[in-house]
Amino acid sequence: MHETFLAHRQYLYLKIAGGLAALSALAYALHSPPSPPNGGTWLGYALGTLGALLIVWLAWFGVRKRQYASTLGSLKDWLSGHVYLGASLIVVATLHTGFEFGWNIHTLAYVLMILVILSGFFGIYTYWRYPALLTENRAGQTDEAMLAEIAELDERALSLASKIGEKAHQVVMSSVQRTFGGEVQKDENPVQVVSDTVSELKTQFFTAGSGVSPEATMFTRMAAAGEENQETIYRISRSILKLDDERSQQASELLGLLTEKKALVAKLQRDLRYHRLLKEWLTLHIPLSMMLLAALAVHVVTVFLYW
Amino acid sequence: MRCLLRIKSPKKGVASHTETTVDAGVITIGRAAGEHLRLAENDLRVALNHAVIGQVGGQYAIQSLAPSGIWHNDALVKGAPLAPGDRVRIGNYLIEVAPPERGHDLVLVVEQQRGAGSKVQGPPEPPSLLERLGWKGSLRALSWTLALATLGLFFLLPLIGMVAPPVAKLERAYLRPVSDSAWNTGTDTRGHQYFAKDCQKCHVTPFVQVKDEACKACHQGIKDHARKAQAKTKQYECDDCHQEHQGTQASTHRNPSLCLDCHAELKQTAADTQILDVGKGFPKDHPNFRISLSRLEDGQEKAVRVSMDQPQELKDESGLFFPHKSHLRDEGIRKPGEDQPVVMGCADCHATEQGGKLMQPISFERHCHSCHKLTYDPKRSDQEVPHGQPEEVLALLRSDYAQRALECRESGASPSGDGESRTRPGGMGNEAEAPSADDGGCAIPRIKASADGRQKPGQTCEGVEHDTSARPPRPAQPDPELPQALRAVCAGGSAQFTPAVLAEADKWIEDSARTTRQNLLFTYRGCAACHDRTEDDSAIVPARLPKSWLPKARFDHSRHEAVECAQCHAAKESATSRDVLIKGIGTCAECHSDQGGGNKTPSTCSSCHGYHVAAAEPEGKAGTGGRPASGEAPKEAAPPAPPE
Repeated sequence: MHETFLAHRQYLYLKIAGGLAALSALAYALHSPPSPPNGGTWLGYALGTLGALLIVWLAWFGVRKRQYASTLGSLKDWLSGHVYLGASLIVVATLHTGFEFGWNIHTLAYVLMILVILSGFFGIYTYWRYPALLTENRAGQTDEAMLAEIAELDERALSLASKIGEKAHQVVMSSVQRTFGGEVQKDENPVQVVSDTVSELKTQFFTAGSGVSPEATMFTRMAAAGEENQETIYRISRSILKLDDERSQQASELLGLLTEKKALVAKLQRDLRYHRLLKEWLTLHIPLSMMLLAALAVHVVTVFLYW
Repeated sequence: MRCLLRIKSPKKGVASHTETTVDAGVITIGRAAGEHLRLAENDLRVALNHAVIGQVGGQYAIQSLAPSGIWHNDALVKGAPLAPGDRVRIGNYLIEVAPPERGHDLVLVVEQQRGAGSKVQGPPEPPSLLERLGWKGSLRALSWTLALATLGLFFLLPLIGMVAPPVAKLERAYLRPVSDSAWNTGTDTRGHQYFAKDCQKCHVTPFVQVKDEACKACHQGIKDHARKAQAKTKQYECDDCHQEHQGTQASTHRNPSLCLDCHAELKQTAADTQILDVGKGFPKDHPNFRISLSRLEDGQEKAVRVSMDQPQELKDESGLFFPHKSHLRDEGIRKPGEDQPVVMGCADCHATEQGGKLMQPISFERHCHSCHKLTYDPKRSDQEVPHGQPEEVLALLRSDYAQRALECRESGASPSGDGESRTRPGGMGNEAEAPSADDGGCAIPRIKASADGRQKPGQTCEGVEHDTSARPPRPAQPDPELPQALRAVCAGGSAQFTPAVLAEADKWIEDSARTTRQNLLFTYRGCAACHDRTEDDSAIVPARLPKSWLPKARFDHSRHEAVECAQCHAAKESATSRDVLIKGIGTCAECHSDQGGGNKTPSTCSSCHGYHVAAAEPEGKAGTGGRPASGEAPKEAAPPAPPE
């Protein structure tokens, strides 16, 4: 059975980190320094040293995960330890502060550390949630397959539209151009483009001919019914209105194709978004970590510079 | 417009093309038959009539007829001017504008791009967080930028200031967050704040802990803990006990173990010490208080310390007679001018000093005088002798008797011929009710007849005579007490005011003044009502009211405001001022203990004792009026002084 990095080695690293935090808390509770608790008592120095070593080791994970040849523990061990020991820092470092905060580099380092840990928690959430959503969304399809299907739908839609008429063709062509068929304009939402195309075509079909045509009645009903019932309305309307001429057949088929495309485009969009979200937490985690390392270095040096 | 259309072969690997010359005003492009440039029918992304190229003001331009537009140099447009080198894309056809050649105004190279028709590009990535944050570079670049910015702002800039003081000054004034105040680990002690911006005032050498010299640069008068000769103890450094950057209240080492290391059995460290061992400390093994009491030996004041465990020796010799009990009676005490008895409380006489620690000294003028008038002559009820100044008393009496003599001579009548209210004749106008017999008897034996013979008979300590109506008015005749010769002159007969009479008058004045003063000072109606006399009755012993019975302890009355006075001071039961009116250490232990807990206030050694007490004064000297040396020691130092 697949074992997540959280449950790795029967939660070995959770136990280690929990023990570390509990030990720190116990020492803090028993410690009665002559002055108010702060980073300068012997326990303060001890917790500070422990915290600093932990931070450096946690940051080293960024190096270790790129060393594919390294045999120093499996990457899964590293990740599991990274997560749990990182979380234990909340206890260790907070006790190191003795709950003394101020507008200074020391508190900045602490705040950055907390932010790094929180962004890490967000990463854990990300890895717990988005892969499942991604799989569910794709439903076995690869993104290439989805793109190929869209391409095919585009082609069929263009072909149908050209048969219906130049006006319809131009609308569909523009739509294809503005979704994935051509270069997509960044500020346009492809789902919205397809949606707009569908409405535009409906308007076109609605005004086609003179006055209110039977088709127009049908499409009005369809529009009112909402997407999920359109197919049913369409079939019923067709049989009632005896609309079985070729053109209306094509029109309905075109609308069907575009609706299908819209769903597919939305799916692809979601796929992309989940992929993006899977990486996004690192956008916070990495720069904050680097900033933390710098602030930590300043903290340690200046505390002794002005001893 | 002559246009050359060079159409490249769509076949793979074949570099051939066909050329057509079009001569028309407008060149049409589309899928429909009849277009000048007819793009293949199978590319449905081309409209039947997709675009036209024409000439606008001497320049060629392309205009889309289809709403989908055309791609001009990688931008989707409706129309655009054309120049050689431009690339136009319609569907999967690429149309390049080439330089004019062979008599053609316009040369268009048309190429169908392979496979572009059937392939759909992936959707654009949604904008990343970085893009939304407006960062154009990579994540790695951002990370390094932030890290280096942190180092630069919070290390490099303050460091420059540290090396170059003028820079530090500027930074501290205008860029505090990036000055070395960013390195400050916590709030500075209130007393240090005025110079605390200047870190190097204390942090003299980088990477070296602050030395005592830095503290003593300002705290020059600070005393050591023990006399040097006795100092076998470990010499602590300032920062062993005093922590800076821990808040505005200075944090001081308060752990009893620091003291008990030596004071549990101090004799082992200092054999000749008079300080008692404290074993496991307060409240368990702490010895009872030793009260500092004043003693007179051969006329010299001397302080002795008497343990509260020796009650028989625990007598306060203040030189004053003052029974608290009779002043604090529940039914009150009579006060001159008041119909009802006045109930007195502690606060009528005792108030804390500014700061609230010790009590203000008792003064006759403020606390006694409103009842205890210093009148001495019923004829002059508004006339009082000065308090505490025997020489001035004599001067005042002389002038008084001289006036009597003069008044007689001038008018022969009463200068105050009056019926005005008078105080009790003879002795001082002690109008307050004297202690009654049940207070332990009339503690002061009254002298019935004084030398001047004006004592009203029957006066006892029980009563105070206020009735003036029964007193005979002053005679209009010459004062009968005046010498005979003077009276004769006063009577206005034939007697003359001769030098002999004058000499007699002078003698009478001097004798009367001295006698009266003697009576005032040394009878129990006079000064001796409250004050001790010397053994030979020649003078009044100066009062030596204790300022503090425990001058070496730090005690703050203001912090005990919630406690009734009587809880520590059994004044109501005290019939004599010889009583030491504080209770022992057991009373303290009812509310205090070293560790606190059990609703008790944590009170470590330094709550009551000072550390910087090196023997400025020899052991045992204490005092009346002396402030506790211990608690005050740091305050004598030059500013800035750390609060305790």
